[in-house]
Amino acid sequence: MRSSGLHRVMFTAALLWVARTGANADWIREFRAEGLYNSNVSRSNREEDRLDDFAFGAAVRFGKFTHLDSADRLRLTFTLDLDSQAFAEFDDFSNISAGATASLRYRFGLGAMAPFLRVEGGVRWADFNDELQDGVRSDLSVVIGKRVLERLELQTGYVFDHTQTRTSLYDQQGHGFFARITFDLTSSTQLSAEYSFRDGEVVSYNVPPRPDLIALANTRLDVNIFVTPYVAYNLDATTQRGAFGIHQAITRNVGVSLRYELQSTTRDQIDYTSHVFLAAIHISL
Amino acid sequence: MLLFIAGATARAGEIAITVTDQRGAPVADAVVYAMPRSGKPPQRTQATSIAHKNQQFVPYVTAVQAGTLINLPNLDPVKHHAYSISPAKSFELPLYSGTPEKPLLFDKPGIVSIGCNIHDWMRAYVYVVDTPFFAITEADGRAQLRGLAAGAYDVEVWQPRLKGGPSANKQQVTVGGASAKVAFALDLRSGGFRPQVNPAASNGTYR
Repeated sequence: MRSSGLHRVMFTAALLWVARTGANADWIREFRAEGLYNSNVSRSNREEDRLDDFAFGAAVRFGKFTHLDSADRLRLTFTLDLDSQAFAEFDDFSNISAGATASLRYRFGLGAMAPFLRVEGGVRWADFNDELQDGVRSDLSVVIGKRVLERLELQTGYVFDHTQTRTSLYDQQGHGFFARITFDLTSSTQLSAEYSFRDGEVVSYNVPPRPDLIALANTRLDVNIFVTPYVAYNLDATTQRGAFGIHQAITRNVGVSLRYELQSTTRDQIDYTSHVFLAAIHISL
Repeated sequence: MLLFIAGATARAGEIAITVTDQRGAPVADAVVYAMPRSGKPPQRTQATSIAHKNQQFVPYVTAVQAGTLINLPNLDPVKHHAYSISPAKSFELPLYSGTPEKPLLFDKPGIVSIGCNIHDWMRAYVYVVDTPFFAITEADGRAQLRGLAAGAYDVEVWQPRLKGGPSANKQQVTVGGASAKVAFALDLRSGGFRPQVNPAASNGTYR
């Protein structure tokens, strides 16, 4: 495994932080199991090249947050993150990742209605069945949010993401923003809607020959991920994503969620779309 | 909304109250209280407490007479930060464990909404009244006011989901020789929304 210095430093810091017992801290112990369907896991723009797949995933977040001032206006959160995904057909996408996330949140006032600003950074090592995709994923976000009504909260933010892998094909970097609205339909049911825009590199798999993609690609590579030969193209593109979700608390420790995402990626005359359906069970202890 | 007054002249000292919503379902956590129509009500305050327990306030609704001391002990292994910005009682108890040394004095009638600055879903209400004759309905929507002197009273009701003020539901009752009965049918906001922790929340349990 290859790892960056930043990754090691952050992971170690998170370990030390989580291990240290602080009187001002609340623990975060969250588990998630999910199943998803992606209508275009190959991210192909021609219909005949598109391949779909199911995946099962699990995630663990373990950490805590602490109050940096007497009024909890400034809150520091550290979690250790473990994620895995197993794809039913295209196993080269199956992966397990381990990393850490840190966030610093400032709340401008007292109570749930006060607006907040949160800066969050995460880094994780991802180990794929396809070794070429192995590498370090990191992201940084700046988010502002405000509960505008008792049941309605708005969030918007900027996100930077960076992926460093074994090959330039899978090296990706992007900038984007998002807007999210959540509405508490009942005491235990929340609805969410989100829009995001990302400008950066993507990897699209297509059956050759594709001279149109060759002209646009930063780099390309023959891959054996699918049954038939595909070529993977690294492209600069814009991706828009719309998502809707329903999030149901079953008990104070267990909840379930359903989510639909429409992802649309465009570069010049080339575009591809994916429909993603996700069902998850969440446990928070 | 006024439904009816039965037994307006009743056994001395008691009023039996039933509270339902607009569909006839019993309403819990409704504060019912009786104000003497003449004279000043006696002062009978008794200190009470609202606990932080399992990251909820217990009880959800508390009624007290103006001048009552209330403490907010933290029974959880994590710190809490209770606050209120309500005009009837504004306070802040920053990050604490255990029981605060000094209880808070609630000396102004009105509604006090209490929250926790750490755990946004935690909420409680204190309804401060100018009379010692108050009670809170149970799950069956019933409550009993006891110890009233014979005479005429205005009986009012308040609940966190109530549309309009408590005066809109005012009823007059005379306490005499037998137990009086009062029924309220309240116009409540729909949904029964009460914030609670949602492990599946898309914006995070803690933000």
